[in-house]
Amino acid sequence: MITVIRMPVRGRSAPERARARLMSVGAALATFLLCAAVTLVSFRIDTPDDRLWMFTEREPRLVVALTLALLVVPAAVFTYQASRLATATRERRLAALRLAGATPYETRLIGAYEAGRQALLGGSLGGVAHLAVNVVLWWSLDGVVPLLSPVWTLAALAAVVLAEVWSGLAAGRHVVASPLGLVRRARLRGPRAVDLLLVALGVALLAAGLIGKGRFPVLGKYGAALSMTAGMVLLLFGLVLAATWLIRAVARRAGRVTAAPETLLAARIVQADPRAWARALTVVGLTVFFGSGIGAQQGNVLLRTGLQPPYLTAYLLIDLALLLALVTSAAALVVHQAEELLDHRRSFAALAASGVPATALGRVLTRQALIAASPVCVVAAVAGAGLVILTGADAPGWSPGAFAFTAVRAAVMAGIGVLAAVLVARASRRILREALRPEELRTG
Amino acid sequence: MLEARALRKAFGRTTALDGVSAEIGEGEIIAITGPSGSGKSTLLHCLAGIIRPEAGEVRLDGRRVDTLDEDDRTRLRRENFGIVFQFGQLVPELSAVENVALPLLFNRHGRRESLRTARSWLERLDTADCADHLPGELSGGQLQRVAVARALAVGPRVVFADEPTGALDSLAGEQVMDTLVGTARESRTTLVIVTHDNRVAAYADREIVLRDGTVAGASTVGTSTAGAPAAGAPAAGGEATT
Ligand SMILES: Nc1ncnc2c1ncn2[C@@H]1O[C@H](COP(=O)(O)OP(=O)(O)OP(=O)(O)O)[C@@H](O)[C@H]1O
Ligand SMILES: [Mg+2]
Repeated sequence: MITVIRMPVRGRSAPERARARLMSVGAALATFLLCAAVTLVSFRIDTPDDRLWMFTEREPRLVVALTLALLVVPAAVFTYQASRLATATRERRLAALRLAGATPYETRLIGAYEAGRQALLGGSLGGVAHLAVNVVLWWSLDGVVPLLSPVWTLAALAAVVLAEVWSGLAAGRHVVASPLGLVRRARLRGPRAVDLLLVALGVALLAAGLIGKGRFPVLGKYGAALSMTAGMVLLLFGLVLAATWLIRAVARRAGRVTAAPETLLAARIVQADPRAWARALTVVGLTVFFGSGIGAQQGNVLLRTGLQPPYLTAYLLIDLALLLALVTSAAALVVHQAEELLDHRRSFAALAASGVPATALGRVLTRQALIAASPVCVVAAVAGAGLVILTGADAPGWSPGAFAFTAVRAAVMAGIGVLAAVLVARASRRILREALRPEELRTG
Repeated sequence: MLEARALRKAFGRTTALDGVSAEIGEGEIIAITGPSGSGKSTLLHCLAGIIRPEAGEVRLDGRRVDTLDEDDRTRLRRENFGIVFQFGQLVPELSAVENVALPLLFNRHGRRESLRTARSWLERLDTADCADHLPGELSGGQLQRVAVARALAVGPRVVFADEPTGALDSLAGEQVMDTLVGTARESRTTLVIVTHDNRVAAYADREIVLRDGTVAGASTVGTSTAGAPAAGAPAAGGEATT
């Protein structure tokens, strides 16, 4: 069995090698971030050195650790998107294996094997990089920062590898390679009602916590806080899932009224598979959400206390992290658009052959990004800012200035999110040009 | 009207076209036939301005096509040509009527008008009840008739079809050919069909036979020099198909 599983790894095509490499990069990033977050939580040092506030002050330390841990999410999404690159080639190969008598489960093992292999490779690199940074810090700061035992690094590595093997197994579910050698994607699942239920439940819990502040029926004074936290988490998950609904509704509306063929094409393509867009936009949406929320908080704090260095540095660091998240999620979007173009290369090449200019087809890509990203980013920005204002509105210092700062910051975050998606779409035109070559028209 | 002279086109070491000349008149129905790999599709792509030959000339109404740059050829194709391929040309996410309306919309017609025109073309091709279905829900024959409607809807002067019935059984293929040739004759549209099916070639006024990238013979149907008997085929010529 092992030989069969390993067979497809040899003789891979260039896109498949690219996929493997990108998966390793994602795993390396995830492991490094995870290690760093765990490290920051696990020790604290006493030193008068101001430069090391990150290790001495409790609160900034936790904020940074949390930010790093959250950054694992975009790294994971990136890895997942990378694992979907060039799936057509792999699926053909899986179908051939089915033809040769492999069971569906065995073909899924192949995906898991590849994922695990790349995770181990990349994760080891990330772990080693983390240990190296530690050694450099220890050496250059004369031992103020202690040398870490590699146990945490190994634990983080194990977590990353396990997660990827699991996702590799799960990813295979959507491909049904029949024993006759046909590959057929399982029916795309539409949005589910449960997604909206989560949002409703989250809002309800949040409202209950807000209204019942101080006199919450259960758990005394922690009850309200707990209810609000749970509500926030549910709302967040719900919003991510509900993005599918939102995107589909906006696309349907756009497709129904437009007279521009580019918009019609874009809207219908988005409408047909809103889940893929929602998945690809998850991190963009989360970035906008956190960016706006933190913006609201920043507005409040900065206007109340003035520009204090430790806060300023922490905020700057968070913004940097958000930017990094956005860049990683942009990479996930590129993968999504490439995949989609691959699906459409024949019909698009036929359109180009009958005289539709390549620039018009390029506009289809940017309009898809606009249709899918705008609603997600606007809702994320409003939700992020709104949540902070709602939960903290009775805190001291919410001046009109702070509200204005919040609104501007939320608008800017939404704009940046949409801009990122559109820029990615513009960059994908290069792939489009490949897809439009007349060779795509050859039958056979 | 459409004229090719001494076309040459090579892909790497394979020479797909090696000095092919052909002349196609207004309203004519031409079949390009020949064995697999003989350069039929390549010739069609050159004639339609999709690719440029390395040597030789393509002229439409005496105007050079092959020397135009990509933008000008794109405009030329949009204004003068309709194209039908063997399969996979419809956008899977658009309904049949939207697929047919697409080129009209690209030509800056209004939404209502385009959809109305598209619907009437679907009616003409006996596929009115497919109008609101997605391509995935249609049969191969229906798909091809929708594709034919899309090619004809813009009112092209020439329709190019590359194995339009290649993926169909003979009955569905006959239906597609009947409607394609019938409407072409009605509107005096020039039709260039690539095929290796003798029954399809029998619909044409004239046949250009390719072999190894050269013209092995040209004939009026029924006396093919390639030895392809037109027996059993629907009667060739104008009035047989309406
Ligand atoms: N893009 C390409 N790259 C490499 N070779 C090509 C390309 N296009 C065509 N050829 C070669 O040129 C020759 C003619 O190809 P063409 O597609 O025109 O044949 P055809 O007559 O249409 O065949 P079929 O009936 O099988 O469709 C073939 O040998 C083919 O392999
Ligand atoms: Mg061909």
